[in-house]
Amino acid sequence: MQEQKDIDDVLQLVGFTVGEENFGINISEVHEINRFEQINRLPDLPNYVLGVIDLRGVVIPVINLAEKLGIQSREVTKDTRIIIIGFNEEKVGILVDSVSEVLRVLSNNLEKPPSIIKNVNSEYIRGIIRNNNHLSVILDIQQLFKDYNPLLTKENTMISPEIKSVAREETSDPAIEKIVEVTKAMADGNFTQEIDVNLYGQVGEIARYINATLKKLQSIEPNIAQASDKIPEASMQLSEITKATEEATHSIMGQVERVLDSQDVILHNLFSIEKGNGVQNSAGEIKQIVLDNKETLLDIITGLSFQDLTGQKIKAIISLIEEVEKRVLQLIVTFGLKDKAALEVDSPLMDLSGKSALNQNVVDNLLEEFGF
Amino acid sequence: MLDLKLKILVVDDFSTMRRIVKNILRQIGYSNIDEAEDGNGALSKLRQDKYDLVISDWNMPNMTGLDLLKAIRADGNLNGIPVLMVTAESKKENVVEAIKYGVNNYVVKPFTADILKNKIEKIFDGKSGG
Repeated sequence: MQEQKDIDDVLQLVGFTVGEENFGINISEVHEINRFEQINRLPDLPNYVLGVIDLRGVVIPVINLAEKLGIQSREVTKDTRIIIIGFNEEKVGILVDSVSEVLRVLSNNLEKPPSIIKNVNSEYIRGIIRNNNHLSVILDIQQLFKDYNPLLTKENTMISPEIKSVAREETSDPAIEKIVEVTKAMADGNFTQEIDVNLYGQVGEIARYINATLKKLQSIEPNIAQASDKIPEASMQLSEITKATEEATHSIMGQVERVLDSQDVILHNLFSIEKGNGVQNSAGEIKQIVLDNKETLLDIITGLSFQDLTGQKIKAIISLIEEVEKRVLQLIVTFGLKDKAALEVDSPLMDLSGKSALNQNVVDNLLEEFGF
Repeated sequence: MLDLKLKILVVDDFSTMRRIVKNILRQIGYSNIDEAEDGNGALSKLRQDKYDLVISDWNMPNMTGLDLLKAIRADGNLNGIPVLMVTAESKKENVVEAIKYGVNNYVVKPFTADILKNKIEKIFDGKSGG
């Protein structure tokens, strides 16, 4: 079970900086990492509590970690982050100057903190790791905030009524449950449901996006189904056309072969006539052959009418393809797929237009270049 | 001069095309003609019997004409057999690829009896001359 032990011993840490110092906290304590946003300052808070933010409708206090640790923090920059951590079943944001990386370290490599660490009270410290050229201090969040009393409860009158209502509605489970239900149905191919709840904030936004997507899917689905229903029929028709043209070509070729063979008989008879041998017989034979050939040639002409029959079938198939194309285009427009290049598929069809095809002369020139 | 006793293998997946080529060959004067539906069929025939010329299409199921050409050139017993491509694959890169793998000549569909005759003559003139 050595392997299992190794896995257990790997610590995953979120590394961040406050001031000039590097820190890490266990990734399992981190709910999310957000960019800096407006912090609403509230009166009468301990000086290390900066205020509250509205995180998708939930009001969350933000702690000034620098203040708590007694070190100098930098000003807010584009790198400033608020790490949301779980604390006593509540969420708390901690303000850090930057989030650097996710570290994977063996817990064996976690060193005991030296007895004197500048500026940081050692009771918060789980240990120290060496990472590249610097030391990172691994914080014990639960220890760090053990004295922290959540001043902010839902009943707290300091929170404005609007924020309270947003918080209550947004976290209501039935809405989330409905979203889960509808998206699950979508994944199963059922696009008929919609989310009929009236929501605010980012959850509401998600619900509206899902509903908009559903509407598009509802409009497009029957179209696609209708169009694709016809495709097997079209390919069957095309197979029949191939068969029909093959048969017709063979039949015509058989007739042509008969005419060609008869030419040899005519030639033979003409040689006889030339020599003056059995002129009457030869002339009679030639006459009969010519009459037969006339009939055969007429048969060939009528046989060529297969082009008309197959042509009509092919026209029907072309209009079907155009119909499918139209519906696919509609799909592209509805979903706003703009990257045309991504939609271009390598066609297995050869270029039948002949525009890019070389003719025999060009091929011959090419062959000549290679010494043929 | 054309040796009309040449044994020729015509390879095309379309029976009509095989018949057209055979008819033209017969009009030229060849009578010893066999046919195969694709590269695989052609290879097994070539390994059973002696042929003097292969006339092959490019685009066929199972084994394409190009793969047939490669297989013929890679087979010590067959690599001397001339191969004439008769195909609708007429893009420059196709022609160059066929040349690279040792095609003896290349006819673009649709073609005339004269072109086919010329190409066959050229293949065997070249052989006797060089």
